[in-house]
Amino acid sequence: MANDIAKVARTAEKAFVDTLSQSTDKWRPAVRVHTDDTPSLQLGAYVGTGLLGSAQGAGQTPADIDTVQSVITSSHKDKLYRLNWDEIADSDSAVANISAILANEASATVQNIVEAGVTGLPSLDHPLQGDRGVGGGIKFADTGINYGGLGSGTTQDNLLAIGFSRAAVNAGLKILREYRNQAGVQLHMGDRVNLIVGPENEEEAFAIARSGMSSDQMQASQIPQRVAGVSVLTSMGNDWALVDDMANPLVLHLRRLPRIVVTPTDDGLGVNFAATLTATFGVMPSEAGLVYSQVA
Amino acid sequence: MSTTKTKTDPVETARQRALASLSRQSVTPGKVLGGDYKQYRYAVIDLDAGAGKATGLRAELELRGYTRVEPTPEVVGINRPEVWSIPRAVFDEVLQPARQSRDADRMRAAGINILIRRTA
Repeated sequence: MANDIAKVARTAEKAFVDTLSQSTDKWRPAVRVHTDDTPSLQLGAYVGTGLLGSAQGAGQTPADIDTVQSVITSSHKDKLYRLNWDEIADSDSAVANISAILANEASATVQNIVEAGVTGLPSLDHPLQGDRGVGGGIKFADTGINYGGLGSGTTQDNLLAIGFSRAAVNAGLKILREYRNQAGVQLHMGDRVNLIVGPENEEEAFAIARSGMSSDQMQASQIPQRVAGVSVLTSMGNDWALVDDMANPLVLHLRRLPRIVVTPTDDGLGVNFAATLTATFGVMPSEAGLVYSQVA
Repeated sequence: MSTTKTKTDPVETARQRALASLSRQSVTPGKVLGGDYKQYRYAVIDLDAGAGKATGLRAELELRGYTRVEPTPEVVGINRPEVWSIPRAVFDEVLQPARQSRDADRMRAAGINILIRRTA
């Protein structure tokens, strides 16, 4: 029988997609996903005063609206395996198995990108560091973040040092409610949030997110109505975070979904199995919508 | 009666504090009341989160050089806190740079690259 590359490709694609569809998506609630097919994603933010007053009739330009932009450059990821035709002929499962392995590795790669981005937030330079009132040296999750407007000269924190608990989640919700943009306008966020925790806090996060009773006084809890999802990131450890579900400043630019490419090798002796994806993590120019707790 | 005010005038001090409090939001949850934030970095364990969780956190804090603050001060938003501290200099010059180095390595390995474009 002739070596049938089309049949191998069909088997590989089915195994790849089947495996990918069953892989973990615990990272999903942590980020807002953009799928724009562009080498660099530009995310604008308006940090104007925001409130209505007397009509001024002043014209606006795109530069006024997107006052600052994060430019996130996408990153290509790929991996290649090779099987010889002899190996394919001798095994009923080699093609499916190698395709499943590639799907699992692609899924793990996406998870790894999100984990690296989220756990790095207390170390990531704030995009507006030293600009628009945000102090020098300020990180994306930090204390003492300046804002202007009515409260000009004062600061706010989106970085806590409290171990995960129901009261800690309530503290984060309170911060989101009161949070201001860099112009000092209160944004009233936190109606719907996503929790991001590590394995240490996974059980408790789901209990808090699902239980209609507060544990201390058995009073009704509003948290289940406000928690849209729980994201479990293995490398979070005892860190945890809250992100606003609608105004999440954390972004995954998933430019190209994971896919498998099957081609004959140049020497004609076998088949190349390549998995590719294009994705990167990014943040909006403003940290509004994030509360992070770095305990230790 | 003299109307000359000095820097230590208690009325003036109170007035300045009151004005400052009006222009800011409520106190950040997790703040250790009476804490010396210039000298120390504080970590808070919520004992209502369960004994197992407290044990794990204590072990991690001890490992990083934190010591327990006793008697336990009050903490905004936490009914039953346990407070640990580490000298600010140790946190800022040893722990945080180590974490930042680790985080930067992870982000670099993951291909994370964020540029900022300011248009106005």
